[in-house]
Amino acid sequence: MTAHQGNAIEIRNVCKEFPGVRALKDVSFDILKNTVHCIVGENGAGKSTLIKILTGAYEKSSGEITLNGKPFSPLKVRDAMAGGISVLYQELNVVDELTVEGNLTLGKEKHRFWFPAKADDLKIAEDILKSFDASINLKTLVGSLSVAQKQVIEITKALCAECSVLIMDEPTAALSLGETGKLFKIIEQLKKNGVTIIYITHKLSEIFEIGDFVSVFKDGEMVATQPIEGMTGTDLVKMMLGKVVAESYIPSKGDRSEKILEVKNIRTRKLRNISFELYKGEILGFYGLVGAGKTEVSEILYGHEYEGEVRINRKLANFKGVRGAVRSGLALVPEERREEGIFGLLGIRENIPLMKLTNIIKHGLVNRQKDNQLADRYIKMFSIAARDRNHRLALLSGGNQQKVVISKCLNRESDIILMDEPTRGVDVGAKVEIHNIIRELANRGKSIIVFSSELQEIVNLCDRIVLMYDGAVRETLHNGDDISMDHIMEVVAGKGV
Amino acid sequence: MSEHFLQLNNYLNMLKQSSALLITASAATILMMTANFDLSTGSNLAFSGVLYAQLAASGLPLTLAAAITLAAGTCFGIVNGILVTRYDISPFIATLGMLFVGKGLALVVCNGQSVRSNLPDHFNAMMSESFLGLPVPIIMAVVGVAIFWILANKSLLGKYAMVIGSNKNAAFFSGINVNAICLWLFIIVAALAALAGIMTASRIGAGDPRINEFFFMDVIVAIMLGGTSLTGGRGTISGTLIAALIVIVIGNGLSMLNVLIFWQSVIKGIILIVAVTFNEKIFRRNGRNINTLGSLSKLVPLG
Repeated sequence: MTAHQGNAIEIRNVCKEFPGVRALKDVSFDILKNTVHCIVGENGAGKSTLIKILTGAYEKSSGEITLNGKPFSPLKVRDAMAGGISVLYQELNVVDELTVEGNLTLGKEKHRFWFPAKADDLKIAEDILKSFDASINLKTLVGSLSVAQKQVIEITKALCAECSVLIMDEPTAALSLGETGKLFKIIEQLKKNGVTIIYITHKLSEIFEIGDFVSVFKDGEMVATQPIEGMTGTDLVKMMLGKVVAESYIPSKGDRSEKILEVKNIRTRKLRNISFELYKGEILGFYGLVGAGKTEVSEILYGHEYEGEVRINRKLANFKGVRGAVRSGLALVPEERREEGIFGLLGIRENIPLMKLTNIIKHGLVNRQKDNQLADRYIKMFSIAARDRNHRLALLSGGNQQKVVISKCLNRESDIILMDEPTRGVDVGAKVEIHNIIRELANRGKSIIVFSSELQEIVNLCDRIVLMYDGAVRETLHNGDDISMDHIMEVVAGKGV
Repeated sequence: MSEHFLQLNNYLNMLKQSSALLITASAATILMMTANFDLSTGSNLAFSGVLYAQLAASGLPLTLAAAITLAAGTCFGIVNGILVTRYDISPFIATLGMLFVGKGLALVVCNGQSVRSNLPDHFNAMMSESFLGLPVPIIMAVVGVAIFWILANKSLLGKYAMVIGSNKNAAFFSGINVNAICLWLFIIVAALAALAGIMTASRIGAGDPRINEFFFMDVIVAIMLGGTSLTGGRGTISGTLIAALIVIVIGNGLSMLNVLIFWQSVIKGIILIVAVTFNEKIFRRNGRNINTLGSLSKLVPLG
């Protein structure tokens, strides 16, 4: 490949492997000079990994990157900074204990033998800062500022670095509409000044507002890179989701007429008037892009604070915290399985009864026989592939771990089971098995809510589908032959809002 | 008149005795601002004191003996720093290990016996002489504390140490070499602990492997009482200085009141717990950098 005159960055066959995971698979694309190049994809698609490679936080496993025509492989953050790459990170990386000025100069202070040589020139930084928020004083302690103001400090810090490439990772997450507008003006200005911008976002509207090109990432691969001009929101969502076929939906067999859960007008900082209901023996799906508010809905049901009304079996559920939720008959299969779902160092036998230990207790002590019987029952029921019932959870495959987590919830005899991304990190075969388990549970009268960012999973599994966008329920669909993927994609992309 | 003189003399004595503590605690304050700490300073002090005395007794000039001792003591910091920064071992484990290693080495160097014989006549000159009318150990303490005050408040080292303790990611993404800074701070603290060992040996005129077993505790008590958080991100040298003086004065005052040495330790412990609890409470309530002695230090014209 020859270097083009106009490419700021060329990425060729870049791979990144972590023990057991391939985070980036053979990624290749070009980023043209003086453009705003957007990168989109669901969580875990590989965007952040790519950014970390560009900034020197990670080292790539293989492949080549050129920056302005020269080979580029930063080993340290400083290398990338010296190469002219500046980054605005998603997490707030300001230091509360320093003043605004101290934060703006952090890491770039001019010094002689570790003593500041002279006051750093903050004219440019101050101008940028004031253009956002004139009320921020350079001498203010950052800890006393609001989150949005901290974000402004971060942006200023990134903008005033002398860079040829500026990477912005969801810069508008904490900004108001007005501040976002100001940021976009500054981005336009930077583009004119010859800065290339890599813009990562989940908000599709922003891509159409400022983007020139977009690269779509999915499962560690770059799916497509295309100019924004002439593209519609639906096209983009289709690129993001890949091919989705509605063919394997099997309606659950229960009568589904008894209302078990009713949620009315739930409001939090993120959610806006969420209402839905769940029937006995039903699989209800929540679908939306990242940031639409799915996780927040699961958190509400599992004991987070909210305003509004939740009724379980017609009774007002005013429980607080997870213990209250569990007592009211809810159980959660969490998204972060390794951190929140399993006890990796314990065996299957110890894991399964943990949500209801009374099942294995006799005369106040753990009864080994009951314990074993319980474990054997679930190992057989879900055909958990393990050496024996003492097999440590950490050593099981993702799919088998998930089966143990589901067993744990079933042992609690909960009526409502919440499943957040039930098949994330699970291989294809186990995925089908887990889907069958979920269907079987529904047939036996359990009510299940699936929160998933995988549309295929939602349309295969769920009897009704709640579509979310920007913290609100946009539409609730009944699954069936006539369900339209295009329509779903339009709704979750925020069309017509 | 004579009563006042006695008092002043008493305070000077206290300062002389505690100069080693003041210097080490000042250095260790900057280390603790990065959320790291060193438990091996006491063992390092004992080891360095014995080594210094042994070398002096073998006929080496005192300056050469001191230089060799400083180099040997600094190795504690290199080991601690590498274990913590390169191998990601918690500072508690790494420096606790070095606490035992140092304790053992101190006994090995002198074969378990204090080094008292064959020492040159001027062995304790450093700690007993005066310069321009001021006792040398006090000059050392003042200069030492001043240097670390400047480092903490005026240099980038102090700023970076605070940033690392406050938000390690922000430090990393700002291109600060977090590991190098922590490594250097471990080395500096160890060098100062070795110096403290030399000062202690010359003050008592011998190398005693069992001296000051709880030196590292006093260092950490002074730092924490002075408003530096164990989790890093905040701390002041002036707070440490005042806290160290309070600890020393209370200890001394209690001795004069004939309070049994056993009870002194109990009182010290209670003061630490009460002060740090208040500190954390106030810190949490305001969510800002306010601490009992730290804010006290603003009232006292020390900085």
